[in-house]
Amino acid sequence: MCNDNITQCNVNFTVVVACALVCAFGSADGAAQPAPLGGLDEYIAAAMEAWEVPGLAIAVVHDGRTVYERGYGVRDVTTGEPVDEHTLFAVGSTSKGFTSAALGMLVDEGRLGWDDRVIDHIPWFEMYDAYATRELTVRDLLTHRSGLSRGDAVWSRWPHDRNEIIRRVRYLKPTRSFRGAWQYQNLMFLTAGEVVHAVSGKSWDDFVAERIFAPLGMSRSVTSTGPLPRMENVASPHVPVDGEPTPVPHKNIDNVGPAGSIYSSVSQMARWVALHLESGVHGDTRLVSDSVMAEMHYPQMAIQADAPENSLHSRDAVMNFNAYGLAWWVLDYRGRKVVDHGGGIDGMRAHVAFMPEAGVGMVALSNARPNNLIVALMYRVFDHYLDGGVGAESADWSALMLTQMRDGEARAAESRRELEASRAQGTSPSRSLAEYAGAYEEQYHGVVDILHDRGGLRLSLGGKTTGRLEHWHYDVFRVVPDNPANGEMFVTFTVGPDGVAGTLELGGLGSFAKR
Amino acid sequence: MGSQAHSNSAGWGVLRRGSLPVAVALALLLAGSAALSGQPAADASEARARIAGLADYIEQSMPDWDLPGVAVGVVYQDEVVFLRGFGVKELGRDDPVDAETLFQIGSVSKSFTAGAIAALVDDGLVDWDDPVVEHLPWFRVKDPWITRSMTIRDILSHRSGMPGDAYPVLAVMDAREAAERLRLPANQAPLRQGYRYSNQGYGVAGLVVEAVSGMTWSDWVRQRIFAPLGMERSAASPHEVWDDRFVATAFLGSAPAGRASIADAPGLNVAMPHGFARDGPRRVLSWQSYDSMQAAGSVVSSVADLVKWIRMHLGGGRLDGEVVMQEATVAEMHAPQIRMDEPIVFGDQDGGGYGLGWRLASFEGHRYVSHSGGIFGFPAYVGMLPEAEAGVTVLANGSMWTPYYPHQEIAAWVFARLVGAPDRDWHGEIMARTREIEAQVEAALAAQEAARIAGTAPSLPLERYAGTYEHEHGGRAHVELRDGGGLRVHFGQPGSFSGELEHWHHDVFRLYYDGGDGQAYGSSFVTFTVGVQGGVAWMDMGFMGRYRRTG
Repeated sequence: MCNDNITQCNVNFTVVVACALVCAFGSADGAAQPAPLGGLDEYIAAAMEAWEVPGLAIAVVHDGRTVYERGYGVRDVTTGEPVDEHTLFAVGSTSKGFTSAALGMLVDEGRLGWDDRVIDHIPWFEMYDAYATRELTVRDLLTHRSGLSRGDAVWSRWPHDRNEIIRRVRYLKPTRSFRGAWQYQNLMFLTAGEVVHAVSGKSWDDFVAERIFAPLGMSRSVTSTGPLPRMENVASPHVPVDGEPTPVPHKNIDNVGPAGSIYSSVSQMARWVALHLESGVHGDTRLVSDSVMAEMHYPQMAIQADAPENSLHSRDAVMNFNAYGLAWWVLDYRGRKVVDHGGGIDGMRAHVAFMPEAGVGMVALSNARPNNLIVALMYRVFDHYLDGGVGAESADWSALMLTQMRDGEARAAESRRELEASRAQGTSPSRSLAEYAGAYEEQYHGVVDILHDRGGLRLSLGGKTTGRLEHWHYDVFRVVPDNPANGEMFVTFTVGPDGVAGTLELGGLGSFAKR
Repeated sequence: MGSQAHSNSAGWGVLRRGSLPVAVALALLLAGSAALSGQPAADASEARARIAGLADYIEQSMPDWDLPGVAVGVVYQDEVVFLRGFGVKELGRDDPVDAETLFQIGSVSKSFTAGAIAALVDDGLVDWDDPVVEHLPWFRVKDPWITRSMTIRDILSHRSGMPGDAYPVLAVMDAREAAERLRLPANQAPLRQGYRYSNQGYGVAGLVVEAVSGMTWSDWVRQRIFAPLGMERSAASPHEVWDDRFVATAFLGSAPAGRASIADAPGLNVAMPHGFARDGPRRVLSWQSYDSMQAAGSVVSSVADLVKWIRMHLGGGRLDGEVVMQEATVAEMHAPQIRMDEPIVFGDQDGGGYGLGWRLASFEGHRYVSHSGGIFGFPAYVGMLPEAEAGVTVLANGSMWTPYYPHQEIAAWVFARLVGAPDRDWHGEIMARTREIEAQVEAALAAQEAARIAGTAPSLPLERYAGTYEHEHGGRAHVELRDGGGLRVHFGQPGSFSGELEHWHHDVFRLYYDGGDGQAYGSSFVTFTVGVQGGVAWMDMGFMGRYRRTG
């Protein structure tokens, strides 16, 4: 999934699951077995080695309380400090559920309707198509049916702030008809966060902290990487460099926060899962109405079978249905409805899932990407409860999903080899390197600066994404990123009739014209 | 029509476009607003006397204009007071141009398309303000609101904001297909925001005529305009005059026969258009028919026929007592619908406006209704001062960088005499401007040459540039390796656009159009991009669009 097309990196993966076995009805209802979940502990320890995951934490919620929570491995391979249930990880796109819940609270207060038009709350909001501008609703923001493809580079690669990114949405051409297909879209969740701001008068960050974190006692949960340096027990993200998990800086995604910027621990996220399993009640307090909770967990938009995100599901599980609610996947596994969401930003993977009928839920956080072990653990936890707390029937989900990932990696490696084979030998750039320097602009993304110094050419996307240009062939250069989490990109220059490199193509993002 | 047509105000419209290999900025002097002196000619015979020197004037000026042939007609108070041809129909032959000689009139055809709609208005079948989709239910532009709102008036006054031309006309296609492609590109401007010349818009107007009348646009124009006016030799398409082999059928295309001459049209009184060859000398072009937007510029006529069109307009829709159009309908066509910012040559004021198929300005204080047309090598002009009951038409078969300057000069010379305005050195002014523009062109070409990088070679062997390239509006272009080496670009159909690629530097080639005029539309640059996979990924044809390699 995360290949050299940078628009598909740093995205938030989710996994859905299905009924792989003959479902064992009747066994779950009385399955109030206490921990330790049929050897989960040993299973995780072995699986982490196979997956080369430095650190992982898991919490399981059953019948309204946390029945298991534990950390494994290390926060950072260079320090060796242990992960525990209080270690902070990026929860990535599982943050989206907080955004929809925040809007749901405003719905409960009568200040907002799910079908309100976005322009009624953000008057300057504009989509590429005028009809979509006029009709786009809050519900559309939360269901990935805007017609837009991801366009993630605008926030992941450039330092634009939230309002600037929302302003640029008008330049993002739809790839499908409005409400015509399910296409994962972070910018719409960013916009949803700004609706929270517009309606409540509080920033999305303050609203989530005051209205959700505080009453749930999620005191160490934050909506930004900003406070992390002052906090204890934080896991470092890791990406593979020459095959070895290597720490990289925390990815600051404040500029798309409502789509995925929360950091939390499994211990605190377990309370969030419990809130959902208890349909909006925490302890003696109702935070969200039953009807709003039901609306969030209800299928709103069918996910078509060829959605790329489906490739992250276990191909060994059978799904009978697969839909999206309001910031949640809604699907089935072994005959039961499952509500879940995954998350993934640079060097971190998260998964949150619950099965309301069985009263069971889980959250797993880890500090390595790519890995789907956290999803395999969801299947394992569900199996345990569906099989009456025995777990004997559970497939080796870790092994199955690891094979699946390795197959994907092999395909990616083959593509990379083909690319290498197509590289022309013995060519040189048309012009002297200094002549490629300049500022190149494209309406949606912004400016690409190509800088020339003694070391050769460098690329800078507003200072946020930087790297060195290495000549590939002809007027094509490979960008070697300063931060390995950013992956390689290719820049193709075109020298025009005036002898000037007037345009560049950047890794599938479009054509940037020299200013 | 494709290009020069849309500069009905002056030649700079041609030069202004990004189409040019050279971007030429032209500073135009505003015409002086000298006070009237003297009185208008009392009648036609006095008019004849006042312009008695016209033939000598034209003959003396022709070497400066570098025109092979020209024909002029003048109307005053409903009488034809001058009607004559000068020069030859085709360089290298002796056949003289006369008043009956047929030329293509390019965008002057737009006045006939507006007239064709006017006839439908008179019949009560359409209203100027009908939405286009009411008559063409399949019609779409990119923006659905504009689709719903765009009226016939918007199209005829160039305020629809629709694209001008360039894309679809490189390939041969019919008007319906070209119009259907308008759903793809964004408008060049919002609806009714301003004047944006659009040949494709007139192509759509022609389809409205066909949908409402139940006839072809050609038949309707012939039946409702040519026939009642006695414009017996005029035609609605070059295909009605020539065998198809001798007609280019796309923008900058060339005749399937590869050449054309009046020798190919025995018995016909036709002029040939002239452009320039790559190395400078005049060359004979073929007639050009853009079926993709016939109603924008395909009329064929003579000055002898066009003076009848002028008389009808000056007569409020009547000719020799017969009502061809209602007076109010004619007045509507002459009424300003949208302002224009570009001054017309020798006009009094900055911009004036556009009516329905007519350019509106004023000349020495007189309301001035005109249009020019410019099929390559065929600059054409019709101008009228309605209150003075004066009209001039000029047709020619060659062009300078400023194709309509001789026409506007002749018109100014005549109109000044007919209305009693002070005479000026019209010729001196026009030639001074012409030389200035030529100097700018030379400077721009020199700058272009200076930027050329010596000693480079294409990145890849030439055969690796050969292949198929596609553009969502423009269709499919083919690049081929010629037998003798070198590359060609073509669009695959007889009569469509084609040209030769000559290496410029690196992966840039200069494309010499087979059907070009050798001047503003003689050549342009094509830039290839070699991609990550090592092959050619893109072919950027500049104003003709950026084509993606597909095969």
